[in-house]
Amino acid sequence: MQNLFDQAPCLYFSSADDGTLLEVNDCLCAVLQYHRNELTGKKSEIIFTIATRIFQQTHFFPLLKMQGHAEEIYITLKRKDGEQVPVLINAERKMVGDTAVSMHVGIIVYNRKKFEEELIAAKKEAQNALHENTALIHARQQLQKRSEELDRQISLVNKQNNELNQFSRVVTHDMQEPLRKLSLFSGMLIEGHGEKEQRRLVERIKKVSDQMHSILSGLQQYVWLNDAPLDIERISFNILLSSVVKKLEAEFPGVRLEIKTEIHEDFEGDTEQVQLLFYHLLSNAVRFRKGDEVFISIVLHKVQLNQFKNMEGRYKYVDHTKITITDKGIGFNPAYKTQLFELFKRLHNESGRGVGLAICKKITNNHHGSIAIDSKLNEGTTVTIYLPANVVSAENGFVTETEFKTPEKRGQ
Amino acid sequence: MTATISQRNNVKVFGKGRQPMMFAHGFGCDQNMWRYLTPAFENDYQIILFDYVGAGKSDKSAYNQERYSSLQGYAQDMLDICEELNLRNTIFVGHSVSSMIGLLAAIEQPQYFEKLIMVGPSPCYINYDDYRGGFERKDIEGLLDTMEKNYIGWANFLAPNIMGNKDRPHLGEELTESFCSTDPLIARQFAEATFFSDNRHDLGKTKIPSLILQCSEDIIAPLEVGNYLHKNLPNSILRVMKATGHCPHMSEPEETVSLIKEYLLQAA
Repeated sequence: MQNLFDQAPCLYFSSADDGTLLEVNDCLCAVLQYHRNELTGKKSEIIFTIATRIFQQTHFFPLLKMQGHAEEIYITLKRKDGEQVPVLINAERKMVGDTAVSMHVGIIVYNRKKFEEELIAAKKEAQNALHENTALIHARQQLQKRSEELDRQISLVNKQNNELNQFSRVVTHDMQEPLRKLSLFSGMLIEGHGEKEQRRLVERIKKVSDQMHSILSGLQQYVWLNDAPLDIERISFNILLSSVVKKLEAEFPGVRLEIKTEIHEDFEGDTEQVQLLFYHLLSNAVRFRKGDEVFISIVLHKVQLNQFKNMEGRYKYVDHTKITITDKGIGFNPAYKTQLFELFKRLHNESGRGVGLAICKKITNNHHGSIAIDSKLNEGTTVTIYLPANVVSAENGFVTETEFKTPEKRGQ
Repeated sequence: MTATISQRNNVKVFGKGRQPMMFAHGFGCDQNMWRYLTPAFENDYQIILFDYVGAGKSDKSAYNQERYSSLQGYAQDMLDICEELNLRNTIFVGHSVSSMIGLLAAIEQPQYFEKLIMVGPSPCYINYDDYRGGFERKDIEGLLDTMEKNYIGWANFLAPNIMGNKDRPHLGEELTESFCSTDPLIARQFAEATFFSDNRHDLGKTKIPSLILQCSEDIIAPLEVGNYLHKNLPNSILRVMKATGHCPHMSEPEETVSLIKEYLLQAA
């Protein structure tokens, strides 16, 4: 019986879960050009091609383990001389005592393989005909470009709408308030008061005018950023940072700034604008510090993000520089974190002009990036900025003909 | 009404603990592969299982060629789930390519994660210059070919009514649910995204503590790759397992569980 089984025209081998070959039949040995004792006790990898080894680990073994059996699995065995033998396998995994044994029976399928290859080739040809239809590809490219254009336009329209709303609020409220005060105080002056009271009123008028001046110069900076042309270059971050720090130290004497940086990547941008961005962010960290010391950590590294920001279902992952700036200051209630980038939003009274973060947002927008802020009250604030690694291509659209890939060409 | 992320990714949440423990399956399978591991953790953790879009019982209509041609698209699946379930301090367990997908997700949104446990990870499967990933491009082409051939065979199986197997009446059902039977195009794209990926330059970008479970004799992620990963991934611990092959969580679940528990206990 054993003899007949050995000679039966089927390839038989059994293996343990760790891949050790337990039994093989004569037919398998003959086909693969091995002696029995060259195989039993060895790892089954010896008779698998590399592709089959991967497939065995990622599909075949999990299937056997989970279901206990697998049918009509196509694999390629490797002969001793390296030649490949296409085989169709049925397998079952059973417990023999307390060890699991997987039994495999295979038949050689040279002809079926040819037939299948022809089938697959025909199918691919049909697919190719579809994909290589130049008109179709052209149309798809056009569509791609249009979607990108549309995406940028949607961004622009949204942005402009928001700005318009903010400006109307500024004009109707933030500017009217100091004007109302000016009118009130000067009215009181005209009514006539004692010298002391007059001095107090003039001082208040001075203070309100200074505030207005400050608001207007913030607005001026903001408006300048609207159409300032971007001058993109590699940014030497350490130099940029030290000039920002110098400026802050002059502005806030007596405050100790401790900045820890972890720079994994260079990045590019408009030096003047990026410097302004860091100036506003770091000056926030200084102004909303605890005590006299400011601890800031800045981490820069590269991540991939979807370039499409508004179009649903469109994806193109491109390199971005992620900049994380964390301080240990007084923080704020995170409920306000999305409103803070609006013009003249102030959480801390008297704290500033309410224009710093709006300017930061404008600058990241100019670079086709994004900015977000998060905080915990009394623990500190984290600002996260993403800037595209290639600002110019983000600005001009990014798909070229050679870059456009049909599914068949992927990965080759 | 749009479907939730949980529906899209066939998310399963169970367990008696509060800290989330998220398991991410690798290439070729679905969440079922974790069934030997989860019982050991469900008393102490909130277990989260899911299928990537395109795998298992996910919503295949959500598949998007552009998105899933890169591991970043798969990482987005994970981040979507973290956001919808509002996860924090998650223990992430990823098998094979999911280790790198988890790493990408953790680099992008570190606030969701506390620890990363990587089962059979590799940052790059192809040999480049001095780096030995273990494979040449032609090996991967061979794999794609093997996969393609197998889907022809399976296509006929997938409809239960033509099975006609009286001895095993559940066979039809099992096969349609077969956790390896994804759509051929999707499987091919996942294979390409997996085996042609190179995440070596991402390793230094996170300091989240991680455990690397390295199998002995794993042809997909050899010991050399495990050592490389350990050297370049900050705050990582490397444990070389007795288990052989690429699926220790299926072949040696006890050893896998005890190493994970030991790590979580040490770290805590």
